Amino acid sequence: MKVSYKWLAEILQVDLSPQEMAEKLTGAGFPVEELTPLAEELDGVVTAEILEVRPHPNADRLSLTRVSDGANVYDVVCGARNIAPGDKVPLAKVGAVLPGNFRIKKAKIRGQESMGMLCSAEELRLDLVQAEDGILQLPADCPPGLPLAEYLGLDDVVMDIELSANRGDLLSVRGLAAEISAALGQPFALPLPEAPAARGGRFPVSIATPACYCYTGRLISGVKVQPSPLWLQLRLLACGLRPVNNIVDVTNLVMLEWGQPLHAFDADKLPELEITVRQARAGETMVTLDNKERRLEPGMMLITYGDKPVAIAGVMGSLDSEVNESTRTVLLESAGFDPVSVRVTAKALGLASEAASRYEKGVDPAVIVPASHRAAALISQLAGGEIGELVSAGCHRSETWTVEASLAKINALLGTEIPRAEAERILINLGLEVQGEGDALLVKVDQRRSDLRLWQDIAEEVGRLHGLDNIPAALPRGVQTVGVRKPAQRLEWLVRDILVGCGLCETVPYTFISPEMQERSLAEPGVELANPLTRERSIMRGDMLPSLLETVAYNLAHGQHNIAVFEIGSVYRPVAGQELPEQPLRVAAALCGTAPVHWQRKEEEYDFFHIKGVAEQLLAGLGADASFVRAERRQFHPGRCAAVRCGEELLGYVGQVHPGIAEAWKIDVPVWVMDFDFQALVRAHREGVDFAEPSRYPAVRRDLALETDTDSEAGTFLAIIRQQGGPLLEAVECFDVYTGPNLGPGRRSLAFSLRFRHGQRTLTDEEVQALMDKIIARLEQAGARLRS
Amino acid sequence: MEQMLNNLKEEALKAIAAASELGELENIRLACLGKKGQLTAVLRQMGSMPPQERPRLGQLANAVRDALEEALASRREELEAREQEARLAAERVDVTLPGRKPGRGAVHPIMRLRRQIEDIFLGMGYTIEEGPEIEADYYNFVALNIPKHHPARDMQDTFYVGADVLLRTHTSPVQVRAMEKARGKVPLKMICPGKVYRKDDDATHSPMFFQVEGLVIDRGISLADLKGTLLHFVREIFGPGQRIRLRPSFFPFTEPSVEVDILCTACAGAGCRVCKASGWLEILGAGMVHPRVLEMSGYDPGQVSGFAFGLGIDRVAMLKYGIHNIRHLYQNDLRVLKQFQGGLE
Ligand SMILES: [Zn+2]
Repeated sequence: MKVSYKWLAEILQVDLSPQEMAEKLTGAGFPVEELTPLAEELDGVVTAEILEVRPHPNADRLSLTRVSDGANVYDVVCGARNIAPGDKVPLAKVGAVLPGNFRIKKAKIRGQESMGMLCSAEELRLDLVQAEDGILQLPADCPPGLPLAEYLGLDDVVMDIELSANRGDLLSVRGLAAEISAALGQPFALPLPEAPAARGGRFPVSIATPACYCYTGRLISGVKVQPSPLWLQLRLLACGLRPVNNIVDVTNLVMLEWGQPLHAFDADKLPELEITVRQARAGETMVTLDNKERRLEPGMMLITYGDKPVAIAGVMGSLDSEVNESTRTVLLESAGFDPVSVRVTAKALGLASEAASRYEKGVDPAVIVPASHRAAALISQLAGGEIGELVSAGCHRSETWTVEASLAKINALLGTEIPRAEAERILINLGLEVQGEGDALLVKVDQRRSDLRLWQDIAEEVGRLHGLDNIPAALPRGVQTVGVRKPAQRLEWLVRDILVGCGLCETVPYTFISPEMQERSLAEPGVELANPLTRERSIMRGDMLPSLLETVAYNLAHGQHNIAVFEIGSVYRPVAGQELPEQPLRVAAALCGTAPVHWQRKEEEYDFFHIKGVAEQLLAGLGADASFVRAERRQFHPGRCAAVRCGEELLGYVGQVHPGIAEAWKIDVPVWVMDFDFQALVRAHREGVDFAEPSRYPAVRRDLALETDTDSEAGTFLAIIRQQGGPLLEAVECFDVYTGPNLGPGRRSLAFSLRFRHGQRTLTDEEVQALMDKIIARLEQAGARLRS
Repeated sequence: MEQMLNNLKEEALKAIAAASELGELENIRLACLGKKGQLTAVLRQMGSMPPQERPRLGQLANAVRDALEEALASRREELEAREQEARLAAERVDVTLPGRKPGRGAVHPIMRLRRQIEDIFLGMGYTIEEGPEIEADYYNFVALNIPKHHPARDMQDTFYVGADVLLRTHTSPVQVRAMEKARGKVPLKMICPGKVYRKDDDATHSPMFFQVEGLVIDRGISLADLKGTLLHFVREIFGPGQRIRLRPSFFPFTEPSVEVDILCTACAGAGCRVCKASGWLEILGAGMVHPRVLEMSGYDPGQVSGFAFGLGIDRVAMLKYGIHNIRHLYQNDLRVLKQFQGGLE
């Protein structure tokens, strides 16, 4: 909320600088985000009286004036028309500097000397409303020769305060003053305005909705609508509001002062003098003050006159009942509307108004009538007119309640030892009544502070004004607990560390993607957002691939050609009949481009065996006994994809992204990815180690060279070797793969190295040979031919 | 014969001293001491010597043999040392050329900090809890004392999936779920790190970001306990000289609520552009768990109390590493990520 520093200082009658006041508010929990001077420096601009106005001999549009600042008389050339002898105006003397760094110099204008400039509001950068365009007209009783800034009180500061959602009472000068006063250690109360003398003007008011708990109206007839006096306009400007006219400005001023929204209708434009507050009916429409036609819906609350909607209650009035220069009779509304109703309506219409922002946080019912009194008196003072009687419906006495707090409980919650006297003083300074004795603090609260309901709320007030800096720092005592990561949490970090060790950088991409990214990646459908920021970020991904490709594409586009990345993150998949989607965690990685280069090696493009190596490294690190099986997936190159299994369970896939998908992403190099289900990895993980005593006996090594078809799979032969080798086969490795002209087309050679060892004795050649024969026989049955 | 032995010795010693490689030395050994060598040849003449001369000549021959063997051994050692020296010299490498390394990746900066934060609280006996990012309105708002149409809903601009399903705006729903699961048991000490989502997008706000929230429920937990806990945490993260400042605030799920500032990391409190001259930086929100929140999740606010706090890991990362644009954290530019290869928080 923006508020005038001078207004607060005036009402509090304290001598605080704007910075000091801001510190008090910030300390109380309401940070002042900005202090902005109301006006720019206006050095050398003074109040002056026009003594004489003559036509300029050489220019029709200009006049020659003689103006006095009380001490001297100056000849000033002026281009405005709204001036006459006797007018009080701002004079920028020679040497003055106007906003925009415009320095006033002695000048000759069409042959006539000018010793300064008469100023318009615009030239002074003041957003004032005037009856006529041209020079700013100062009040007739303005003494000449005063610095203009001082005379108008332009040395005000706009304080922009961040308020919390629970403190509707602070959306007023009254509330802010009370808060600052309490922070200064003094109580504060603004006396409620008295009813002005009123006569006649009664009309029927009825409420036909539970969402309005009080409605008051009163007529003020015979008003003259015109710009407000400068003090009022400047006060509104210092609170961030634009002046309009004397009627609207008064309603705004009183709202700022008391926090009670007021609305003024042009009563002569109302179809009938009979007010009903009711819910809207389907199909009703209204043009609001901002000149937009609004479709009203049941659930929205309306103010109607003779059944015609003239305002959306608490939000905005209608254009055709607006107060303007032709208005003679004003109907002043001050009412209480249900916060939720106003909030829902304002949200549905996308309308944010000063009134709505106050109603939705709750206004003080005790102020509804006094605010009307205050506004009526001010209107009649500034615009003339006769004040009619206040008519009302539904207004009950405002509620009060007692919060039963205990000093001991408050101190226990805060960890303090605040004595009763201090707690009491704090609460009294906040304008609350305190009763009770000893430990009991019985705090009487009214609807000005409807946020105070529980003893904890009272504890907060006491702690806040005691000063949070005065609260000691301790640590929880009580039963000790052990903090350890759960097994899956430990494994998540293990996975991360293994992949980093494999040379991959961890990424954290946005989990929301565009429909196009999903489509391009042939991805599982994700979860659509109802209100995305942009279409680009409108779906919670159902698949890791779009994110991997986004990262790869981004880095390729930024000149990175060695891309090795991984992500541990969730995908989101709708599940029919379930409120929340499935959100499994996945571990995915991508390699693209060239492996890190080294001077001893040729540059090496990433290939299938790089990504498989990463997967194998990961699985080995988890102690998972996994196998790679040829697989076909629509997202993968048909010949370059393997499913990774642990027993029956599918862990994930590794392979090359289908070149068609890469092309759709405008990636023209192969992208190698792996994508695992994290929970499946957790299940595949083998805890601990089954220790085996190393054998003291020598190993026997045998090599095997097989010739096979190229479409046979090494895995088949490895499995046979392992199976037939049995427990004596300590290890087997494929150490060479060869295709070449001497093998003929469609043939390749695979070389394996086998190591046999016995745990309790030395193996004999015969034993090993017998095993080798068994292995070879089975390999030959499987289509391999032994090479000599 | 004596003369012959002495000549043999003299010449052989000369040859040994002149030998420049091991092969040559071996040839000398064979020529002098081998089965067909010169010494054997001389000794073969022993028979023709007078018998009384033989023992003396025998001794002399042995002395010659010993002398030659010793000379051979010492020369061999010399030559071996020299040869090894030459071989090692030839094996010299350019130690300034890069090593062959498996390549090193990097943990994402947010995850580095997440690990550190987790470790700090694990050390204080907290557990780590997790929960869904797409969450029910009830857990994200209602159970945290933010009913439908509450103005406090404006504090967190929310992405919705359906009427009652949304992207969690904070990790607090995890706390609610943990409290429900604990069924009133104390002490409950937990943190919940994770992704959260709000409809914000500028240089310091990302629509997706990371939070870590903490919760302690026990008998007699106070605001002072919260203050001490946060002070410990802040000093672990930002250094032992750190200080905190609590300012009153409002969150619907805590009462009292506080906002916590730390000394500006750029100017250490002197006042600068980063902290808008205040010397302080807001870093987290916290407070005493609201009695209604306790009640809704199965705790009796008459018996127990608790504190809760939440902070943005992104914000900590930006402060700690001096990252000015939050986009760097989610764009996954390798030039950014690779800067986090080394070190440990
Ligand atoms: Zn600073």
